[in-house]
Amino acid sequence: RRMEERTTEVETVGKLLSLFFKDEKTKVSGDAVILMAEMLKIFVEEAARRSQKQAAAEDCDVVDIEHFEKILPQLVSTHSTIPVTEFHSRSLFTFFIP
Amino acid sequence: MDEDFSLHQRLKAALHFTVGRLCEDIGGDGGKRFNKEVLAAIAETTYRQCGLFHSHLRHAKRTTVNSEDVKLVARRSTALYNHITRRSEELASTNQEQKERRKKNTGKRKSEDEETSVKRNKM
Repeated sequence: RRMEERTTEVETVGKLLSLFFKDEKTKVSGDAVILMAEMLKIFVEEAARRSQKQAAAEDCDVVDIEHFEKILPQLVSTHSTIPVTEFHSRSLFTFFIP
Repeated sequence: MDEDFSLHQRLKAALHFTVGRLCEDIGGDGGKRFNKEVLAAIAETTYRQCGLFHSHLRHAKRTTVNSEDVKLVARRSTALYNHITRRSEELASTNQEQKERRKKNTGKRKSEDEETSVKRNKM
């Protein structure tokens, strides 16, 4: 069952990537898709672990949006080049979900 | 246009689901519960990250993205780079094994075919 879930994950990432590449005539190799799935999985796990740690530091049982907001600048700055200021808005939830 | 939109929505939903599952696993380890808002935010950030990775992978009239390109994206963090390199080596070695196995199989089949043809010729 675990294995099946994994393949669906890989397929989903493959579709995600190919969707982004749709407008151009670019192909993505099978290995690259698997590695991208791994990267995204690490990204999600890292986000979850860090916000959990933040919640633990504040002695909360439930991981809340504030905890995630606090770890977000660090998370995206180590992974990518998203300008940190973009995520400084206090109501992150409303920022993401219109 | 409309089809494209719904595909995006479905992919986002799949991502949201996967994020929920991963967070459940991690929350179970640490004895914490994740707020739904957090899951949505993580999913949305991951989606944006995917778009960013895409813009990194697209360069200089390349037609195929291979594992080397993914490694290049991971280069920013040393630990991540090492992990991804290890994974890609594993993948490469398993691919090599499969190729060799396939070659052997086809080789066997060929020799069998030759044998049967030889037999037939003798008959």
